[in-house]
Amino acid sequence: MDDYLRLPLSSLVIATSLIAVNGAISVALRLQLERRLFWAALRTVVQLLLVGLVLQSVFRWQSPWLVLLWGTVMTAVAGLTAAGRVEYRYPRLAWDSLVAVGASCWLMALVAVTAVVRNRPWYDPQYFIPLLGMLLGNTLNGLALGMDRFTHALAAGRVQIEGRLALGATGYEAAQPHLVEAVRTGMLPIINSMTVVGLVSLPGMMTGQLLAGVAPVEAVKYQIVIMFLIAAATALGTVLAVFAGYRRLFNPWSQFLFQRLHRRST
Amino acid sequence: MDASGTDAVPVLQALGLAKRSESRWLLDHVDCSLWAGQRISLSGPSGSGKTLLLRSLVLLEPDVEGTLFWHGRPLEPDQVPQFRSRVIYLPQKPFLAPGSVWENLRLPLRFAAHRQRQLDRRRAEELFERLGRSPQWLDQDSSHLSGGEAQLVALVRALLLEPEVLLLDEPTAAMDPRSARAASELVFGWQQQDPRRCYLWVTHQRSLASAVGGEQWEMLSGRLNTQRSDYPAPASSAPPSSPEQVSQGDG
Repeated sequence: MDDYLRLPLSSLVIATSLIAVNGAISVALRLQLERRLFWAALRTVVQLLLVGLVLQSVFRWQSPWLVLLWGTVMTAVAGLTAAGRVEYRYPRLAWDSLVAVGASCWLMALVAVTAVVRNRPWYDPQYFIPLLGMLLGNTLNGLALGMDRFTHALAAGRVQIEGRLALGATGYEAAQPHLVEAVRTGMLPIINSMTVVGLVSLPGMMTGQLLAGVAPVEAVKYQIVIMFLIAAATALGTVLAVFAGYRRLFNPWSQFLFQRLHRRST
Repeated sequence: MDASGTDAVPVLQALGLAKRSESRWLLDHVDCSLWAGQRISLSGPSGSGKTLLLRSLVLLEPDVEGTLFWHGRPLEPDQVPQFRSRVIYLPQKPFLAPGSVWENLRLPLRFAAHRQRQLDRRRAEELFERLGRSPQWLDQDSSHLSGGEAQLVALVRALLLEPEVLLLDEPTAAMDPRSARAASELVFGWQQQDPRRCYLWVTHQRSLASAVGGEQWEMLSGRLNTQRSDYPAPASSAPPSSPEQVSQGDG
């Protein structure tokens, strides 16, 4: 698998200078995005270089502990990022998001390496790390959308929820329409991308494999597997997070604890 | 107390209901009992805690201290939906779901607490007729209703569930005088149908207060006074029939 072109440093410098295109547009149109652009570009370079360094050693040492450690760091970042995107917050939202992202993605990553790809050892970082990363990135997205929808609906729908409760609905019966809506919202992006995959966009992993010289049919097989793993992880993660939110905002007395919901202060 | 509804204990009893904000007691250790057959009006200035009391009596308000007894037994968490299907609180701002009026009347049947219940459309038509609405009115889309009409729908929805207690939070406030009078009469009629039924009716208006109540309670800064004396007692314990009494100054 060595039939690909390594990039010399000069290529990186040329690519980096392309950010000037964005800068020029921002100045010309007075978008006032120069500062943010600068920081975003800097973060791209620094974060990726750091991750590259970390991955170098994780890949070289082949230690299960290092793999688990790095996987945990990735999971923590994904969980907290997802929680950070939710506009209406409640106590322990970040924790719920972390647990939901972690449980669903790790489960699917383990299914992937033990039952689907069947690499030996299972923790071989060449497989485990990128698979987990793709699962986390997509689940984060669905979960954030689902949770945002759920908490929004609850914050805006107090009259409806309390109206149902006052007519004898259980907490679950009162929240159910919003739970369903939230889980649907979380699952739609992956369903949408499954319908156009390959035709409109070549997924990142497949692109990477093609660049690395893998035969297209082999790359496609991987992509099919990963799409379904992502779909499963997203569904599972969204359901877990939304139901965790339900448990925090309704108590066993069929009360809606609306005062726990607060709009994020920016 | 057995299921037949003997009067040894109140239908609903609250002990030590309390809730406070940072600066003051919103509900200041309220004790009260609703007995079978009681008709009570509750008045008091805005912000005195009337709505909060009603919400607390059906456990809609979280973080309220105190105990509720239903037919003499302390209420358990898993009884709450059943309890709320028998002790119905009508919020000031009615909740209507998208769909027709009839679909809104049927909405509670989705909940386990009402699952065994059937709804008779003819009975609903009859109630609306007494409110001056034609049977076709049931097919109206709920989004076209005015505030007063929404209150009518919410009231009829509650009455069709044949509750034992109604907790009414200014149920006619948004209605025109004629509808308000008809709605009040529906409530009186519902109560008279079964002597065990009782209601607690929040109103700002003195005229309405003396009309709806055999008894008059008053709230002031989170405290409940159940022994008001400055209103003249109603001439008889029968529900009022004078329309002016009921509808005056509504809206």
